[in-house]
Amino acid sequence: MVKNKRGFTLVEAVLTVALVSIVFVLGSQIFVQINRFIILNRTKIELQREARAILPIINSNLRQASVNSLIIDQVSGQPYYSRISFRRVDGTDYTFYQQNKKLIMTTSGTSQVLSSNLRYLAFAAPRSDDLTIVSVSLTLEKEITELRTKALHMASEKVMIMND
Amino acid sequence: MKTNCRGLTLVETMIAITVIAVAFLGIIGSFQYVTTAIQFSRARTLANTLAQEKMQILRQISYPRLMITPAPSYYYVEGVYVPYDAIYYTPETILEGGITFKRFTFIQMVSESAGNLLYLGATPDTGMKAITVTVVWTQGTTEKKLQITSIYTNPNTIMSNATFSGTVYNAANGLPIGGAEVTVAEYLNWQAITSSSGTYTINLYPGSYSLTATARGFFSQSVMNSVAANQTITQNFYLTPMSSGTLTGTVWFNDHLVISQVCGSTANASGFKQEWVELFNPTTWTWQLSDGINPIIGLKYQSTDDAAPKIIALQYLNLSVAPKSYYLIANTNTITACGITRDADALWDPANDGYPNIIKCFEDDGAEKAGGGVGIYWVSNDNWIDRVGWDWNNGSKTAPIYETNGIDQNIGLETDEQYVRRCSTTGYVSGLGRCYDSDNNNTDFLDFRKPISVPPRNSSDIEPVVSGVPAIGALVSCEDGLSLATATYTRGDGSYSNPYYAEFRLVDVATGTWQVLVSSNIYCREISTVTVSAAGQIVGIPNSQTGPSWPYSGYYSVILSSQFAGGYISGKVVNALGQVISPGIKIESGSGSTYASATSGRYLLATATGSYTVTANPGQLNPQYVSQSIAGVEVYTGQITSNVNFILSRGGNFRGWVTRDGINPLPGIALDCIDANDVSRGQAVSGADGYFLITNITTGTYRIYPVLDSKETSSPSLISANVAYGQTLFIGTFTISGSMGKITGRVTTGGQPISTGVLIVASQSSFTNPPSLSSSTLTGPAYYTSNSYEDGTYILEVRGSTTTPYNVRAYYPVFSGDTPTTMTGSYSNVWVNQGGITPNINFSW
Repeated sequence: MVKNKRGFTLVEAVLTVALVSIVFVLGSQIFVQINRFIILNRTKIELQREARAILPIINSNLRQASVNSLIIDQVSGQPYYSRISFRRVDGTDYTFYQQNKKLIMTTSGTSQVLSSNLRYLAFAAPRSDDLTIVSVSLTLEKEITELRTKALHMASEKVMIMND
Repeated sequence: MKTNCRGLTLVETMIAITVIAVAFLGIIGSFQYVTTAIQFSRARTLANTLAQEKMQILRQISYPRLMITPAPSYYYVEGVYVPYDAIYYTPETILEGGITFKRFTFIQMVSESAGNLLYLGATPDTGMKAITVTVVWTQGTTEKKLQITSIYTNPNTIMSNATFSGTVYNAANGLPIGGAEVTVAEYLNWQAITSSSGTYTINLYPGSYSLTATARGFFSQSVMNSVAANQTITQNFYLTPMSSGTLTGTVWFNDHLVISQVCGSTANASGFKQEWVELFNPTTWTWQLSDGINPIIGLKYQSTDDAAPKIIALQYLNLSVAPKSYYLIANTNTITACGITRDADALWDPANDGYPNIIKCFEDDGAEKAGGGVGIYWVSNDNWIDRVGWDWNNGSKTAPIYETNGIDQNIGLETDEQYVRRCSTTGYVSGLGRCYDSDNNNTDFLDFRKPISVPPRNSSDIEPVVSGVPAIGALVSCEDGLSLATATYTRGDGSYSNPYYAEFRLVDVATGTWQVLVSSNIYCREISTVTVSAAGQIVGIPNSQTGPSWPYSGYYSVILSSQFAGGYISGKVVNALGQVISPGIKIESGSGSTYASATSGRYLLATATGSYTVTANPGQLNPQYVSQSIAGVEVYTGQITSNVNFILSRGGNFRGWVTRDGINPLPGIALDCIDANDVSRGQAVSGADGYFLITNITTGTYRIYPVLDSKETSSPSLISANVAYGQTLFIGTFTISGSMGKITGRVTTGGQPISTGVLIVASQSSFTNPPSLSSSTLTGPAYYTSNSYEDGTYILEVRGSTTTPYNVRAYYPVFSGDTPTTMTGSYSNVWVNQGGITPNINFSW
């Protein structure tokens, strides 16, 4: 009986290495794509969640505002109409404003950063002769450095102010 | 001991790689599912936000200005028809979060009755409107929907301060009727359901009304009565119970030619042995057997001695067979038998093997060929149309061609023997078409032998069809509004003495004259003038009185033939006094229209299946009456949806014109028409030509006014007018000043739409930067502001003006590092007309 003790031939070894490397290259590329997609998607969802959390805070307080106390302007050097100040009917004062990439809420002398991903914030009163309607538009943006891209989420809602 | 020292072979390596690759694919596959799930919850959240936002926008419209959807359109999603407004609040397409959403709005009047909301469609104001917003998006390949509904109440509703109350009684025994409905013809929302003790209360405004009480199984009763302020009027009703009877009959369908008779050998006077196969056409259409050159339908024969069916080549003398007519295929030109003579419609071709003796008999051809069968078939695809076979059980052989069971025969086919198809379950009746077909030769055929006694028929013979294939499970429904639809069931046991048939018993059919609908799959039959004249009567249909009448005296056989895949809507149309309107009122659904009877007020509308809005008197075709719609009427295949009833009051229309300057029309202004009780009775919006038409107004005096915001003015502010029935009254012109127009455009950077948001500001005064806004700016020059949408478009509403143009500026903040800078753009001399749109005010950076 003759035993085959030859092991790999060179050709076999080369072929195997080539095939394995092709599989690895393809596989890693797929993983990179998946990873990229997951990161982008996750960031989008984070932004959406953040916007979803912020808008009700602004809107529910704004809805309780007294329209006579309403001031729409901006912090010096910041985009137009990116600040809104009002007194709620219960006497509490609120200010929401943009400070660079931060969205800040100030109430009773304390400030709180609601978001650090601000791209656009505008409190648009459709008509300056009737401030009972304010259209709040908010865009959050986050740079994903490893992908050299940006995720965006825009949310807008109209709010009606019922109180004088 | 041997050791394998070779290591991995190439094959092994490749298998390993394949396994790894499969694992990869699996991971990628599961990843897909996770992504889909994430996307779905994301889309749903966005849809919810969009729906809520629309609700906010609509609720900012003042109550009278919120228009009721006049005739809803329907959008099919998730298996339901979602109604929506395509006139005032048209569907929107919105891009948000990279997903395209469709947003539909539907607004209807509602009223509250015993804790439940009644959705009323378009009707005079109830003080409550229901807003339904539906957001639809595509998830993968299917559409998903999210729907929210909110009730908007009229802040200025005046309280109803008059009352009708009373009891609804059964006139026959004086007992109260619970669950009866009491309605006011003039106001659909004023209605009440009686309690278990038969009592009801309706609160309404003072006035004179027509009240109607209806209850299932009773004839409804209408009365006129009036009530003054702070008064309670007792109005009792005594309803006469409907008597009911039962409708019964049999149902058959016919969709193919049948073999109605076979004779293998009978000698004529000169001793020639005649043989024939006779066909009958029980359908309502003509069957073509040959085009004159090539056969279309052919004949095959096989004896118990043959290995396979043989084609009997034919010479076609007549090419077709008419409805209810026979077709005689024979081995000689003229058949004489049973005392009659008939010419053949087709002949055995002399080229056939064994001609003229093709169908074999015991005496002529021997015992082993006496069993057999014939069949007719489509030449194009060789599929059978109908078959009949006869056994030779002495030789333990069954028929070679047959349906379910060959005719039981010991000897087989003999000379002077014929197999004759039954006319109906009863057997052979001279003068009736022979077409009973339960798909079983042994019960469908009768055997006449030595001598034969059923004369052959040919294309000159026409006989009525009283049977066919039993239509088991056919749906039977009646429009009486009392009975419920039923289905036919099997009678008989399938034996020779008791063959199968399909019978129905439709119980609880109210006394009166009705239409009945019978349907099975694609076949249906309407039977009109079905009369149940007394309680407990059992009426066989069709009968001599119905349309169509019975096919033959004494045969209550419904023969299905016309093809129709839809269903029916039925009901009654009366005026506010409960009287039938003459000439008949037109009834319209999405897919058809008909007229109600001018004598009974009843209608039966054939329509495709689906969900419909049914309208009586559409477009006030009969100008003396208002039109009325009932939404959400479901139509099922082969059924009558009954009790879609209308009570129409007499009425007319108001017409007028809205202008911005006395010369140019002003579209989009809402007008409200209120009655003496300040209740809104009709609304309209001025069209592109400035004209408006408030339709469907019950006769009387009304005030019509444009619904304006605080900065708009109208001259005059309202017009009083009195409409007579059948009249379209031009009430005059409203000149409006200060109403809004629109500026629209796109915002782009580097040619791409800006999706992050741009602030757009317009004013008639000149400005560089938008001023701070507060209560102190309310009276200064007006600024109008809006944000661009995610798709890079914007709409800015400003007050229209023909004297002063607008300056429009855009502010686009961008970040350089962590600090924002604002890019700006501007237009001057932008003219905006009231009710107009000034487009293409685009900004690009």
